[in-house]
Amino acid sequence: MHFEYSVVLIYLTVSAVIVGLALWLGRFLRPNLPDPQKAQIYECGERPIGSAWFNFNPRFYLIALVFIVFDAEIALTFPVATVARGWIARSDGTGWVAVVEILLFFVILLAALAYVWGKGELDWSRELTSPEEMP
Amino acid sequence: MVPTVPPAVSPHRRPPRGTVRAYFRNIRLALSTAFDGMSVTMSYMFRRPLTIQYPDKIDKPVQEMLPESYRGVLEVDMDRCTVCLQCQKICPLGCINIESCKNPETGNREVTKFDIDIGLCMYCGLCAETCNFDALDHTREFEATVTTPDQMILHFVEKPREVTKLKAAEMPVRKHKGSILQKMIPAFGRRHPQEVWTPTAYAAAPVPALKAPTATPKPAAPVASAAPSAADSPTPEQAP
Amino acid sequence: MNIMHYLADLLVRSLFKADPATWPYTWIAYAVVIGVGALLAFAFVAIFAGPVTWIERRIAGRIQSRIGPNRNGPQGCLQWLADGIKCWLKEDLVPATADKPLYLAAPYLVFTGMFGAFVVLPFGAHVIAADLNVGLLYILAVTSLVVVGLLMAGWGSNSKWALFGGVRSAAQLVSYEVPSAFSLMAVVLMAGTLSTQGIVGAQGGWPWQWFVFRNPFLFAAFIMYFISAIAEGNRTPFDLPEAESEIIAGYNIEYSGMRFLFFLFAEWANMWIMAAVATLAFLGGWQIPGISPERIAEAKGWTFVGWQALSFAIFVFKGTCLVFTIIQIRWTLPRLRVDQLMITCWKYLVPLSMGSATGVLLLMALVREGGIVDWVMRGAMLLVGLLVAGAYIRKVRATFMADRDNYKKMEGRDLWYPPYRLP
Ligand code: SF4
Ligand code: SF4
Repeated sequence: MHFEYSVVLIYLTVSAVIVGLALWLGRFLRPNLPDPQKAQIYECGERPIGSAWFNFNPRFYLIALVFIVFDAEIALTFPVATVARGWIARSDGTGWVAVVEILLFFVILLAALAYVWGKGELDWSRELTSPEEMP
Repeated sequence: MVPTVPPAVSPHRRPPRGTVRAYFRNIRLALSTAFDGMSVTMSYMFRRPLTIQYPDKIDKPVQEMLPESYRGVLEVDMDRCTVCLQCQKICPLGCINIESCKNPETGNREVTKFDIDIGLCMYCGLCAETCNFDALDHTREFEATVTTPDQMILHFVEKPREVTKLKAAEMPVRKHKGSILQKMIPAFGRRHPQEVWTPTAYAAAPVPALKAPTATPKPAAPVASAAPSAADSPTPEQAP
Repeated sequence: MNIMHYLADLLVRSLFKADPATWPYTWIAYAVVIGVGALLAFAFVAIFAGPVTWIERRIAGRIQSRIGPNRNGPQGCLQWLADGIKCWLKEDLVPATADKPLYLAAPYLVFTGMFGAFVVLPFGAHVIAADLNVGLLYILAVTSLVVVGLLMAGWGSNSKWALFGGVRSAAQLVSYEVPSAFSLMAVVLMAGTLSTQGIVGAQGGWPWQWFVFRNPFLFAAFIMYFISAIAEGNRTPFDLPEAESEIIAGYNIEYSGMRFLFFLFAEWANMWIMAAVATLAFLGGWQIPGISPERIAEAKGWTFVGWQALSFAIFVFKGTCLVFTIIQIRWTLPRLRVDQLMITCWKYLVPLSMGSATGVLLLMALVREGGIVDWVMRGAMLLVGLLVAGAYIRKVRATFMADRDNYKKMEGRDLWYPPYRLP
């Protein structure tokens, strides 16, 4: 058990070290000729206008919220899904507990999805009803 | 009476959007069109590629694959040129620069300069069109890569030579198109050692004086165009 | 027993004549052996991702009636090496206005997130770094690091293109994680375990033992997983984060040289990870037809090594086939629009993948495994698979034949030019 997770740790470390080593070795190979023009942001050859750190409407920001709901549910459902097979194989009726439980999860999720879908949040262009809603 | 266009009703008309039928139709269409597309691209794995692998891995030079009327780099056969200056006059960009003079010893006309600036030329073909003696013509050469910008000016006259007095019919046969040119541009087959071009060398090189087409002499003086520089011609003589 | 654990113990016993349980430096031996394993995995990624870039360009060439790179090395097979060396020799540019820590750290996160998934990929019967009991969930979790890296790259560059690319890729990656998780849930239900080796062990070597042909819902789940895997790997037709006609290059626009290469490298390796997960979850993984895993485990000496090599070859072969399919899809389908992308995910894939998981669950509860209904279903699904393959071959042949005569008339040559003929 400890061995397995130390493998994960060492793999992650080794991969970070590989990136660092490649960049560090490259330092001796690559030229370094700094130039204010090179240090500019690429904006199709024009001088960059302002900073890129501004507010904009990425759309679908609600989807991020929906995603969190879904991801949490998935994280909760995976353990149940894992044991469901064993329970069903037991043939004393516990299998149906798992089935009903998972279906309950799904029904809740589907209700959430149907709500968002019905509200039109999954569409790109919603109709703006009032000027206050204009972005 | 204006015929009315019947509404385009196809048997596979789209079901209204947002219906269950449209939903499943979309799924079916997504899978079947992806299937069709994949089979088309897969069939291209068995088709012959169209690419001609220039400059090697081809049966014959690309020059020979081009059509006869291809307008490549210009070339002039000095054995047939009568220095009538028609080409110089017609060129809208003034790429052609011809100078000639009369040799006082022999009394013959000599051409001292016949330059074509292929960097300026736009390959319009007017000059070749206007040449009555089939001296100036487009070749099918296109690899006019040179190492310094002044090599872009092709000098067809190296030293002063006599202008032919023959009639068109008596002239020697036109040399094979491209055969003169191939000796001139180093990049053609890389026959000559390459010069290394550096910005300083370019700056130091004398800027070739190109003449604007308006500077050509009046039609009354068809022989010489301008005063040749003393270094170029042995016996400079101004045209009348 | 973990193979690396076993090897490390063997090393300690034979080289240092010590008992690994009591020797105080055992952990150093462990760390060294695991590190070597990680380097081997890296070598595999590099050797896989590199040539696949070249092969993809050759395939793309043929699909577009071109040839593709064929100058560096025989038939251009060293092109990837030339590209890599070129990137190594390029200047490392950091925009003056960038957020330096974020900008510099992003390639690390992207690469680490990609590489972490290799821990649980079962390359062969015993060729696996660590058979975690949360395997699939671990893959889902660790590949999410990539999203963080992409967002950091997009935000840290302080470039508008990069910002849009980063936000787009974040939206896309998190969205498509949902259908891919649901499709994998169908597999987890069938296998009753999250461990990757356990899932492979629940299948068999023959196609009718694979999960993909078990029942119609798993077949659908495979297709949906494949689609969402392509989307998660930012591959066409879902390559909006790097749509060159809209946002030039997306999140990696300000990167140059080696840092850029690591983004690209992670993307290619990601493609392999997706194909490998699809293989292990649906296509029977490394299972050798006719050889049970127990027989492999009991084998001794070179037979054991031989079985391992064969299972490794089978796994890599299946994965490579899927990678080639992804490549072909890239050169077939046009890119989706952003709203189409989101609609595809949330209106189609999410409900349908939930439906497939439900279907698998109900079938499990209602149909006895190994019973007559189960076998009828497997046979029917295998038949469907064969029919689809047959229809595909017929269609390809028909498309080819439709143009053959015209080509002959126009060019005077035969159109037939199979892929193994290299111009
Ligand atoms: S082709 Fe046209 S531009 Fe070129 S030299 Fe002749 S007339 Fe001038
Ligand atoms: S038009 Fe022909 S003959 Fe006259 S000068 Fe030009 S090349 Fe010579």
